[in-house]
Amino acid sequence: MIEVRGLEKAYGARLVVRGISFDVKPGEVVGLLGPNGAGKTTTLRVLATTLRPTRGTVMVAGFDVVKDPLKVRANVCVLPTDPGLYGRLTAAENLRYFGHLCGLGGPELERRIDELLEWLGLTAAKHQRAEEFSKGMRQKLALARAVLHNPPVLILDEPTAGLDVLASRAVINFIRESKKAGRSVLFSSHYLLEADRVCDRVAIIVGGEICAFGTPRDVCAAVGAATLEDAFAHWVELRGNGADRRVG
Amino acid sequence: MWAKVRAVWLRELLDSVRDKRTLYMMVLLPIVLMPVMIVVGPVMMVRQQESLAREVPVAVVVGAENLPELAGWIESTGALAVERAPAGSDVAALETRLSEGEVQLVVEVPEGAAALLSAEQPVPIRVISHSGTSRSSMAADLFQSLLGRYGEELVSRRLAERGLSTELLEPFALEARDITRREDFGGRLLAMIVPFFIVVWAVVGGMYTAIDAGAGEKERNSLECLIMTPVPGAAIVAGKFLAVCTIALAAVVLLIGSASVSLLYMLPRLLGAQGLLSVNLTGGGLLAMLATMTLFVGLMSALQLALSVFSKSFREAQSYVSGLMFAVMFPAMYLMYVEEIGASLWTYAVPVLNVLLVCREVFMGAVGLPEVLVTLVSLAVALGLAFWGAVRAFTHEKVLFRT
Ligand SMILES: Nc1ncnc2c1ncn2[C@@H]1O[C@H](COP(=O)(O)OP(=O)(O)O)[C@@H](O)[C@H]1O
Ligand SMILES: [Mg+2]
Repeated sequence: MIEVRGLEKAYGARLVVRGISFDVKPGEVVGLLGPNGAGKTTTLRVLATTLRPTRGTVMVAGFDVVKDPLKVRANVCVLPTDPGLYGRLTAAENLRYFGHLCGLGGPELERRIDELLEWLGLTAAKHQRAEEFSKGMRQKLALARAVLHNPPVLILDEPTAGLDVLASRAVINFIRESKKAGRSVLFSSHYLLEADRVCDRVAIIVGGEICAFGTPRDVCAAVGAATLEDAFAHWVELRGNGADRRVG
Repeated sequence: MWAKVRAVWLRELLDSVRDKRTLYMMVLLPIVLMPVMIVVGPVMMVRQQESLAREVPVAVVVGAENLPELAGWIESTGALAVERAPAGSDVAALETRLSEGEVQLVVEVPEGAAALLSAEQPVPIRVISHSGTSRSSMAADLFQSLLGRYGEELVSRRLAERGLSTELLEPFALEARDITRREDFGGRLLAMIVPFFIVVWAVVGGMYTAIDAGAGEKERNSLECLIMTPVPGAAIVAGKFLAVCTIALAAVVLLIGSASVSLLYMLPRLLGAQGLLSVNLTGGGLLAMLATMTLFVGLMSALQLALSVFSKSFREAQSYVSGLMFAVMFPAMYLMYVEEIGASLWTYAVPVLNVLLVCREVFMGAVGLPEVLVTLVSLAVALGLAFWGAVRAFTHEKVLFRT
């Protein structure tokens, strides 16, 4: 569902993603794990077509992100680090807006909105303005918005960052259920425990390079670590955080 | 595609209407500001003139006893009050009183004036005024014309003594007519003030909507979600552009409405003069103004949107938009003080200037078709460029993720 080959991304002269390759199969959950500044957000933005790759090819849901960005967008749902809701709009209005932009409408859209709000426990807040929401509620609403058009691919950037335990659990459950529904999920995180719990495979990215890619078990075994956290620490210490290395 | 453009348009409108700042700029300010601007000035002016007319200015005549007949004659007209001061009074002290506004004029009559007069020699009379204040300069004018009339009276007495006719002195019989109608005053006022506010409000009205639609979306991080939707950038920009236009146009229409009510209804009532302000608007003129304003509002909206999308933050956008507002205000202010109409054709190719000129000429009933056409074409081209710039900014990753 996602196929990344030799992806490089530079901001000006600064190369922050250095030729990474990985893939996500249908119905698979893959975690992109790395310290701050490793290039996770940059990678996910390229997959979401908001950044153009400097080099390499990226296919999402069978479409090339450079040649067919609109088709890619129609087939992925993206949850950026920040929920980015419209505060002066109610929950339902926020969802309706994105529904219209995805080409939905009418009673079908209304049914879908009710269904998603119910599923995420936001029914009572349907007509409440988003600016009055707690952080957890906002993240849930952002998730609802992301899957509104029922896309086969989910890309989530640090979906649990800054959430309390209950809200994080809701997000993790959401990822599990998405997997059950047959979606492919790629999410970034630096919380290793939760990654261990939900991921079929993980990619450890440090300084714009993928150091290890495989099932959590294989990744641990490869460096003789007992837990994913140990493996992660091993790679971060070994590679350092090379995000500030210059090209050339 | 249209459904998506409309979705963006409506959301921006909803957001704007729920924003108190927009409502304030768009609705409250025009409704309150226009009557104040239009009514207060003229009413104050009229009040001042009335009080000037009511209070008779005071002239101090130094050495009035040298020519008692003159002071008496002036007093008898009732136009000037006379305060007599003996010859040799302290003129410097009188000048102080003059500059303090206690008296409005000082007149010096020299010694032996009566003798000079009966010898038919010119009598030197010195007048000291303080023309910095309107009451004093008015008193000086009054005194001069009174003296002139008194002089004529003396001359005709002298001519009569010699058995000659007064007509000897008047080789011409002048008959003057001023064709300015009272209605023209209203047209002029409209032509001066209203284009200025219309042009400024084309920027101010949609300001917050534009800032919100670009930099605001960036700051709240909703922009990233928006560009991830399967909608082409041009369609999103079109929706936002329509929203800014709608709000700005609504503001301008409200402004024109409130200006019209103030000028045509409130002002005559307050000044107690009816029929003072019939403006001669023609259908064609109105149409020309409408088309010009719509295109201009479009141009300003597209420009503001482009600036807003380009900005990193709300703050930055605000300063760019304020810059735009001043860029529009300066020509508008300049034109407020320039009276001539009928500039050369190329001036109508300059956006802002052309809008001001067309508005003014429409109000004065003197608008020409070639000028309007040049204006419309120039505005349309500029609008196209600004819109293209906004789309470019919106689809450029360096601009979207500028930090
Ligand atoms: N718009 C940008 N312009 C320039 N440098 C950027 C930009 N965005 C991110 N970077 C840099 O790229 C590197 C990777 O950032 P990012 O992908 O956000 O990392 P992560 O999400 O893993 O924390 C960081 O060093 C960051 O400073
Ligand atoms: Mg990040």
